[in-house]
Amino acid sequence: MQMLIDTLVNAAMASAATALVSIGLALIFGVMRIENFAHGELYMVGAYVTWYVSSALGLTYFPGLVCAVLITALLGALMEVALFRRLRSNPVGCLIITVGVLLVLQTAAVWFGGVNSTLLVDTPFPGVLRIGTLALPWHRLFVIVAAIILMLALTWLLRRTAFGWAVRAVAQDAEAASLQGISIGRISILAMMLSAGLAGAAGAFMAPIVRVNPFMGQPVIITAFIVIIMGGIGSIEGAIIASVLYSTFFTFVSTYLDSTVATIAGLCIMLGVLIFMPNGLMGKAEKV
Amino acid sequence: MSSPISRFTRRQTLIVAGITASTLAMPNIVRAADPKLRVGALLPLTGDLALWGVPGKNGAEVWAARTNKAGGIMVNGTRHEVEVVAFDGAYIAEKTVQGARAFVDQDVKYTMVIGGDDWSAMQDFSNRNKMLTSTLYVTDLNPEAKYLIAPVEVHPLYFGCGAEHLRKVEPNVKSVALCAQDDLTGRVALAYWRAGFDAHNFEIVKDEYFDLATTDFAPVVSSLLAGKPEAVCLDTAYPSFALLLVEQLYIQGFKGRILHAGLELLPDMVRRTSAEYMEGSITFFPRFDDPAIGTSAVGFPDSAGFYADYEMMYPGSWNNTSWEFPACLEVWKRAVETANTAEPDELFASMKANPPSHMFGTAHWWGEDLFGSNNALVSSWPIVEVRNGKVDIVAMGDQAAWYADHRDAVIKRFREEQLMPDQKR
Repeated sequence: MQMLIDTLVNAAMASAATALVSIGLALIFGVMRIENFAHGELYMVGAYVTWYVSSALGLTYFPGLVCAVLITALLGALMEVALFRRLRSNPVGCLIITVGVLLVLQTAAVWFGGVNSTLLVDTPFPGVLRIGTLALPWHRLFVIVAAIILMLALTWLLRRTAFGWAVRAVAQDAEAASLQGISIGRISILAMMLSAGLAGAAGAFMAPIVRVNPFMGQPVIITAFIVIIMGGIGSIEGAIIASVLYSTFFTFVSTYLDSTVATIAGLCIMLGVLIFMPNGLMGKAEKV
Repeated sequence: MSSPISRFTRRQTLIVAGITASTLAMPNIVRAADPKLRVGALLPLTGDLALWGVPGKNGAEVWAARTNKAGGIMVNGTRHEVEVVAFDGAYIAEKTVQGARAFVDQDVKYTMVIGGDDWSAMQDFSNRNKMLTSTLYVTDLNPEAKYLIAPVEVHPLYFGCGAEHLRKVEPNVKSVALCAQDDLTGRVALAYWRAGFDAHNFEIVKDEYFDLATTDFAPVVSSLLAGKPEAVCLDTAYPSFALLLVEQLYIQGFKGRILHAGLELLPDMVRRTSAEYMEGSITFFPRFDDPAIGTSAVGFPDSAGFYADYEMMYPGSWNNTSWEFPACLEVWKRAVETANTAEPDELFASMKANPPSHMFGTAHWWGEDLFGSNNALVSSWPIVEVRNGKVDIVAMGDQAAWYADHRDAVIKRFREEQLMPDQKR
């Protein structure tokens, strides 16, 4: 019973973190039509900033979390202004640029913090919540709750604010949105900041739990791409649903079988979804 | 004013050019005049295994400084300074071979590697260039590795003694669970532990490998604890993996003994769990400020003085490999002074004929049975337990004797993992 509860909690936490990263990726693809391969490294930067502020500078976890979100958001803005904007008409060029950014960020992390993977971030919520014989780690519960709050806030932002309407308009039809007076450049910067900030937040949430190392973003970006393909490219709702489905499946298979089997099975599921639902769970077909 | 060049005749210019070119083209001749003996630390100075590589390099440099201060190495009546040359192999095949090439160019006489993936990459090169090399992984030994020795650590041989010790201190413990990362290091370690647990009547209730890319170890530990083990073996999970595994064991309520080869991040493990939680954990690497080290490490001169010098030169970076690579160098030094040469063929032949003393005492060459090659220098090895947040030597295990008594169990488990000499590709 404990193992089942542990696995459910782990699955919920993995779903939450994956959803935060995947939403950001879906947002950027929806708005800017860019597959940002450096998105996993923004997650990594979030974890590193959290470590640096909370451990190296000796401040507590929450200042680290705030700095992680701010710095990754600024990094996102820089990427948009300095790189993506100049290659708007060249999707392949954009893709290659994101790979370059990935390598630069990894190398910067190596230079900055070393590669020995022993950067430790202390959680502000140590210990476990005991309910009878069940033990629920506090930090994992925090990740789940914090991620849900962030996603609810994002939903409100996209559905109830002028900025959100503008983002959705640009994602739907950039040309028409521009004709309506919406500044594509401004929306792109803000969307990129939002996307990067979400990835940075996910990195900050997970930093006390996982190994903080320069390559920690790689499995995350692979998972995120699987999720947004499954969910429907550009669909935020699809990304959330697919995050829950995929992460739950992966966690259960990892626990009860093997993580390698889980990886292979997860990819098979993605293939299955694409065969039977080519646009993903929530994607829309486009006319050729 | 006449040009300086015009003072030379054409013949004189050609002669000078020829002499210069010959000198530059004959590095051996130039190097032969250099009295220094170079040893190479071809270690991961970056990457996941930098936690082993950097302290190893540092330890080698401390050893070299102390050796030179004491007069250097005596070869044929002449004292030679020893110089450590380091190259960051990052535990990556291409970089390791690059480092090996650099060492040949620099006339390095003796090379040290961690072992495993790095040795696999450079074996052919080592054979062709006669690079006498030491490894910490005895499973690197094979009949094709002509210049490879395992002069100090013979991972995973001491695990058999570890299982025996666990049975001695926990006579009522019946069940164990094992996990490690899915690579050569993990597979070799768990194969030997399985043999050890078989030999001492432990039931293995869970036995699994996790992917190297794993970042969240909660599912791994949940799975491990599903079989309700009374002891958990995490060998040989890399240090950062082991830390997170131990933390998860603590969070998920495991209360039994933990076994791990090195417990390199013990201070962090204590911080994230508690000194009480780690009490009694079994490992195999002593600390050099342990009062018992002097009586155990009889083949390592002035271990306390070495530790003091290390802490002065590289404060806060001490780790298990800080003494292992110097111990490899100590074996090499003794062999060089016995053979009166540092040249690989003569030195190697001398070492095989006259086994040098090991760090932990008298030793003999071993390994033909399991590895097809008797190039492991085997002696006793310490069994260490965590006491009050630090490791203390509690026993010395006779690795070769244990293997002799339980040979069939080991071979059976090695065959399962395709590790026997006739199975290796």
